Amino acid sequence: MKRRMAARRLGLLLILVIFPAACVHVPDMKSLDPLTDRAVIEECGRPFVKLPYRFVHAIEATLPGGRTATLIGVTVVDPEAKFLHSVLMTLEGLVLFDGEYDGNLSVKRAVPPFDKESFARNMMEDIRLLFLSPEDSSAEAGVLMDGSTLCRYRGKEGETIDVTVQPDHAWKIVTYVNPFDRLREIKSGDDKDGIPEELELKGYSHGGYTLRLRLVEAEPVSAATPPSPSEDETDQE
Amino acid sequence: MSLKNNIKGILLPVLLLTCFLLVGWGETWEDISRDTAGIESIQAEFTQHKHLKILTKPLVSKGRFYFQKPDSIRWEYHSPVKSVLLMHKGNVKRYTQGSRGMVEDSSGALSSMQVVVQEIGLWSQGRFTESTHFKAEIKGGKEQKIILTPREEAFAAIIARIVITPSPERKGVIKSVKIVESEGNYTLLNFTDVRMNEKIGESVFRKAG
Repeated sequence: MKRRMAARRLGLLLILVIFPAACVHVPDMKSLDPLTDRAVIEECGRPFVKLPYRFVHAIEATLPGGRTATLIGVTVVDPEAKFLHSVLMTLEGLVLFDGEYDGNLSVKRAVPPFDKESFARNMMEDIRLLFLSPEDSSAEAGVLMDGSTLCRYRGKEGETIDVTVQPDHAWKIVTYVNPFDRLREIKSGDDKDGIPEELELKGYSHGGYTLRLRLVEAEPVSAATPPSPSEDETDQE
Repeated sequence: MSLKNNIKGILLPVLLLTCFLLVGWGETWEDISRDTAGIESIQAEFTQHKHLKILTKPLVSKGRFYFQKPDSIRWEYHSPVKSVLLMHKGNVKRYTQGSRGMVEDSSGALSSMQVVVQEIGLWSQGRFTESTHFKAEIKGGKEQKIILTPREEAFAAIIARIVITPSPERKGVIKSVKIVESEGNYTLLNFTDVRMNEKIGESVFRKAG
């Protein structure tokens, strides 16, 4: 009898310890008033690109089983058109993946193991979350105890997207389908002129993975128009 | 092991390095084979310009490479990401600067390097025509070039061709290597400060630091 009681207590203790670790902390939110909460809404937009931009990142990937790989990622983002163009290549310049997203995914080039459709969809979802604001206009928002601003959006697949911006402007994005099923988590590092120099994305699907992005270059571009040829495009051959 | 896997992220620098071994070439394969026989070691700086349609200006990487006969190679990037590829006595390793310092790449791509090293053995002796993966052609004219084209379709889908341009001023030195992936997408490597047959310590090919 005593053993049963002890086992129950232990079980209860484990539930109390493990559950908070596995869950997303979901604070209560109030609906936004576009007139009075304008400042809050604008603060929640801080993580996202406002103008068409081109980014080059060094990406350190930690994959399931602890395997690591470093790649270069080039991304063009047009927030108004909700357009993304992403190229992933080795340090030597060999392009492994080249794809666009404008609501639909279009893969121009994919070298194994980057040629799986699930990889392309997941990668574009990562990039979309990193750079484009959620399309949900009926967000809820609030201010947390530490002064952080939190906005909660509904994603296209029904997932919840929480965007938290701290008073020091560092930010975090967490997506989940319910408080117990986290999908992705992104944290910003130090920024320069409003652009994070480091980003960390943790994906909880596909066996779990972490992407650490270090900014190499960032420059504004004209909206989703084809770029002009490279400087020495006509170079020797 | 698939052909595509063989080139995944690794073959490219090896191709370039191997091409560099073929310095001092003449106008025929026999000349090239004879000229390369005297090369014991090579050191050079390189600048890599990556051209992509998505970029308005090329992405520039810089580094240094070392070769020691028969098959030791160090291919080192200084920027934008510090990285070292080492090939020595049949072992291939790659280290990249990350959040935890210089970390060995364990993505699995390196397993294919054992196959690639066999290719190097051929190419470093100027035996281009014996390669099972590339068909080689010498183009004369104003500026001599060597054109490498993949023999197999699977390979051609990834690399359309490689163009090697020897230095016109200095016999035995490569001016540039261009790897064309598709129209508008290519990598151009320019070599400078080339030093040949100088002694290189063995640790250069064993240690990342």
